[in-house]
Amino acid sequence: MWSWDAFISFLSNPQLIQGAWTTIWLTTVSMALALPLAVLVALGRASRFGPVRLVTGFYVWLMRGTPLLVQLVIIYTGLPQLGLRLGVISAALTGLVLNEAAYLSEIVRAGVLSVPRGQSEAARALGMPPWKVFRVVVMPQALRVMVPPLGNSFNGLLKTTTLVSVISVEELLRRTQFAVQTNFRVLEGLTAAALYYLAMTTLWGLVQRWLEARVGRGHQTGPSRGRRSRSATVPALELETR
Amino acid sequence: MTVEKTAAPVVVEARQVRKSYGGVEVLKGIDLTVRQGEVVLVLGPSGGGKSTFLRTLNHLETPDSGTVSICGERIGYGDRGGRQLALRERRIAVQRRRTGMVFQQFNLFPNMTALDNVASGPVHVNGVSKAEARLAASELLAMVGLADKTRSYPAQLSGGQQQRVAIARALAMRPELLLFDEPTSALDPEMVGEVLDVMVRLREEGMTMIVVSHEMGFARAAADRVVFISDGTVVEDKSPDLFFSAPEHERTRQFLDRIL
Repeated sequence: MWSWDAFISFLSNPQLIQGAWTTIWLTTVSMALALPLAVLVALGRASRFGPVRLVTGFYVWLMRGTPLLVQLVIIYTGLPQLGLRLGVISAALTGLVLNEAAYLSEIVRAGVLSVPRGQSEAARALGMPPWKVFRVVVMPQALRVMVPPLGNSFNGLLKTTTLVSVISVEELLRRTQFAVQTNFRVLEGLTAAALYYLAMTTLWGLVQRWLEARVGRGHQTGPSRGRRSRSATVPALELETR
Repeated sequence: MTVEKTAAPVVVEARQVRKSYGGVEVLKGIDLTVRQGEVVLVLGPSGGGKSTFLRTLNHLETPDSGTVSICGERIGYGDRGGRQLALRERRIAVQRRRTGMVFQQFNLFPNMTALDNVASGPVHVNGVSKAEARLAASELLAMVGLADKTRSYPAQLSGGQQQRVAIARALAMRPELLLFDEPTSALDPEMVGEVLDVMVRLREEGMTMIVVSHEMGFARAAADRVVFISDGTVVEDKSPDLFFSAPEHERTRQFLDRIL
């Protein structure tokens, strides 16, 4: 039997609310740390220096080629064998960031490649040094292409964080499981958790739409002279799922 | 006028510039000297190396051999203990400040307004404050006839307007030399005039310019010299009058027959 009372009490359970916060925190911090790392990896993969390309390529290959769950268990439970002991949260963040950065680096790479060569040439011709060319001209335009797939990743990461429950991080899923153990209302408890995830991804969807409008400046504004050629739609980027 | 200019200081000095791509020699030892205030039109069949040569002048292309000097400073190389060493991109960027470039495809930054496009050089290269750079930028936009377009994004402008913004953007760096790489080739015919007008005005103000273009009208009206480049070499280098009335070489005559 489905119990509405149990369901509603799960929804307002401070344990779950606390867990949802942990989930949001983990996702946001992982993303915030993974993105700069991804930019470095993407730059490394385009480097002039062979060894740099090799190391960054190996990293992406390794991270994308093995399950996050395995990586997390190795970091939290395996590394202490080598004398490297990480706290629960540090281990979870390390795993999430390292794994996510590998995927994001592909998005960054695609974004950077989407900026026409003439753009960086114009910037260089003005006398901009390389990092200014990247920061002022290439990156803002790459971002326009990157935001939709990055938003996709953020959405995915909100749910991927459930995996860190395995190494005992008390995020939403684990807290829900604890709460369920008190009354064994599994269906109500996990439906409430699912609703929390849905609320978080929906909220993120709104943030993403706002971000897309922001980075699309100069592209979606109505042309006064019927010239629309440059406001082409953002190419869809396929994302591999874990 | 000609007398003045032959005595003027040398702005561009290219010596024996060579460049190959995949075993094909595109530039076979090009020499060119341009003095302050001169307007040089570079003509020639497509694939003959005109644009490649122009791009060696600000080191967007690195010559395989030969030297390019702008205002007496060798581009791309620095002197260290009497030896010429290749400079890093960061140092070459500093050398490029003396040279402005206008591209066939305009290459305006699509995420910036016309005003910020023009201000981008002073702000991000020279470290001028945004307010100050925008003030100067609005004056430059007024000069190219776009005072009312400061807040427009490139996508909202016609090709001719975009190219005029691009010229203003190059001028904002107060260059000693302006390079034009087929500035009107991507424009609808009715917009060519507005861009050429701006270029003619720059000439009157004494700007040194090297223009790769097929605009014969501009050659006759505004060029001091026509340089004809074909098969990676300079075939002719003379005044427009002489170039069109008395071309010396067979290749030049063939080219003129085809385009006139």
